[in-house]
Amino acid sequence: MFSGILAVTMRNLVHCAVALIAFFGGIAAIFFLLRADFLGAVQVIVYVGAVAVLVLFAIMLTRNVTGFEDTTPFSAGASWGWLISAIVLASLWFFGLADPGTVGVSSQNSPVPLTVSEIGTGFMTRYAIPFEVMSLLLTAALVGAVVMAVEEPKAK
Amino acid sequence: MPTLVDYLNLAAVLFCVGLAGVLTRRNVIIVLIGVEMMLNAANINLVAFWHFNSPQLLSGQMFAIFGIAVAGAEAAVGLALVIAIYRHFRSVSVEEINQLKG
Repeated sequence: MFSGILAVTMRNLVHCAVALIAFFGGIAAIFFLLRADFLGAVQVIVYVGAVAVLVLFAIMLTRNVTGFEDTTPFSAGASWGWLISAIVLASLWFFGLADPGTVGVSSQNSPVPLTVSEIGTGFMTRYAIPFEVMSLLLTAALVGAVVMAVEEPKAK
Repeated sequence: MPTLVDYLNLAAVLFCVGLAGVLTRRNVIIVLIGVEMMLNAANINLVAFWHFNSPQLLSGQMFAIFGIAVAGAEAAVGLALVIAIYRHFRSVSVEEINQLKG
């Protein structure tokens, strides 16, 4: 959580990315704590592996100097941004969490951990159609990303 | 043993940190990082509800997996857009990218 705060406030972009990796690792630890082992592993692979490398590549490709210090990291209307997010946080606490009775707290302390084979079987049986849609979406995103990043070499 | 409300509090704080990052930073890459943080906070909520309410069902984890997949696709497309925009404007600052037709 603190690394998440660091990730959005630091001036150096590479430091931001490293804090982001720590943040994703913390989320994976929370998933393990919630007995969602498969999700924790997926989080480590997808975020700590892929997305972090993607962000680092984007930073390196858009900056010639790796140790670039952003001189004006915050935009002109930044105080409005802080104000709006503080208001959202306060309203979440006020309306959603002030009354614990509204969220169904039925804490069984020993849930049955789902195995990976159960998840795989679910993907192939009940969730087959969403699974296909998800793979189609990922393919489209891959093709779209390549098309946008390689566009028109002789435009200039 | 943390309760459900603890996880929801954590997710709310993380969501608002991501929102602040989106709203206050100039750099497009940091804005995308903020979006990723908000999606992660939503995933924490899904998994926490799954853990505390219906751990025998698959639905909560399935939802979180689909969320992760969509977030990954969004990150790939977003960063490709950032690179394409940088090639055009030579900048990744939100305030300098203000033309639709360059």
